[in-house]
Amino acid sequence: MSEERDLVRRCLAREERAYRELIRRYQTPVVNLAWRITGNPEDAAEVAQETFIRVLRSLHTYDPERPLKTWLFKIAANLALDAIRRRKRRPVSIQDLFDEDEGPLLEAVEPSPGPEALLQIQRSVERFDELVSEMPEHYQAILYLRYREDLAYEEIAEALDIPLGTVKVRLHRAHEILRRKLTARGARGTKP
Amino acid sequence: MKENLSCEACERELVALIEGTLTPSVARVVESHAASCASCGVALEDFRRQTLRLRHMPLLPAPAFLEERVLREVLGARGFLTAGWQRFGAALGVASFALTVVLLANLTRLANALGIPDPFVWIVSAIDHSISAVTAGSKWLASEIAFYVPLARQLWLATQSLRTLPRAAIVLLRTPEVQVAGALLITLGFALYVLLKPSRHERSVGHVCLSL
Repeated sequence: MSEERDLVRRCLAREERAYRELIRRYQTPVVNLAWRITGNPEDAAEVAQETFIRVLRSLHTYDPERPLKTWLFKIAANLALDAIRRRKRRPVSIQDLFDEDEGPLLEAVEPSPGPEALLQIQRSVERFDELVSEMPEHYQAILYLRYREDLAYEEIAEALDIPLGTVKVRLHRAHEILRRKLTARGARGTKP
Repeated sequence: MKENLSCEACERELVALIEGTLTPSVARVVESHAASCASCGVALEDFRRQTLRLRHMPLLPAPAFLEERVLREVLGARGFLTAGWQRFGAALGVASFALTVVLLANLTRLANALGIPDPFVWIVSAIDHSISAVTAGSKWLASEIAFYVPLARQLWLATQSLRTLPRAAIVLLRTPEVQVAGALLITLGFALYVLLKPSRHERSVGHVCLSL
C-alpha cells in the first residue's frame, strides 16, 4: 500500500517513469477486465488506453485510502460499458447487466453426467475457457475480478458499482450457469 | 439454519461455502448435507473444480502500443501546455521588469511634471485611485447586472480589503531596505538593458537610468 502511495505521489509529481510504472503494473488487469466486459480485444485496448489517460489526468481526485486497483477497475468498467453502448450491440446499463436473469437456474440444471464425462470435461481446459467466454459479459467480469484478480466482494462491488449482495448473488449464478453449460455439453458429449 | 436442509437451499449456499463466506454453523450444516446427499456432493465438487479452473482463466496480453499511446496523450498535452505557460510567464516577467525600470527611472521627472512633490505618495495615490476605480466599477456592475451581483460583491469586498495596501506601502517605501532593493533593481535592470540592447540615444531608458 505504501509502495502504491509512493507511486501515486510520483505520478502526481508528473514523473514520466512513474507514469510508465503505473501503466506497466496495471495494464494487463485493466485490459482483461475490459475484454471480459466488451468481449472484444480491440475495444478492450481502446478502453484500457482511455482508462489510463483518465486516471493519469485525474489522479489528484484519487482517494489514497482506497486501493488504486479498484479505482482503476471502476473507471475501466464504466468505460467498457460506454463502449458497449456506443457499439449498440445491445442496450446495457450496469443495473440492467446485474438485473438480467436467465431464469430459475437451479431448475434448469440437468442431471450430472457420469464420472467419465466429467473427467473428459476436466481435461478440456480450452473448452472450459470457451464456455466462460460464452457467458454474459457481466458474469465474466465478476468471475475475472474474483478469481483472477483475487478481489474481495467489497472491492468488486465498488469496482462494478453494484451492491455487495448483488456481487454474492451474481457470483453464485455465474457458477450455476457455468455448471449448467458444462453439464449440458458433457451430456451432449457422452451421447453416442 | 435447519438441519434438514433441502437440496435447493443447500445448492444456493455451496459457492458461499467454497468462498468461505458462511458462518461456521451454517457451513457445518451445508457441509453435512453435501456429505450425505449425492446430488449436492457432486455439485459441490463441480463448483470446487470450477473455482480452481477460474483461477487460471486465460489472460489477454496488453497491447504493446498502449504505454506509448497513453504517455503521448498525457505528456504531449502537458508538455505543450507547460511550454506555452513557460513562454508566457517569461514574456510577462520580462515585460513587467522593463516596465518597472522605466517607471522608476522616470519617477522624479513624472512627479515634477505633474506637480506632485513626492513620487512615493504619487505611486500610493495612483494605486489608491486604481483601487477606488475598480471598487466603483464593481459597485456599478453590482447595481447594473443582477446576474453578476454576487460576483461583483465579492470583488468589491476583495478590493476594499486591498485598500490597506497603499498605507502599508507608504510605511514600507520609506524604509532604507526597500530603497536599497529599489536601487539594486534599477541597477540590475540597467545592466540587463545594456547587455541586451545598448543604445546611445539621448532619451533612451539607459540614459534616463544613468541620469538618476
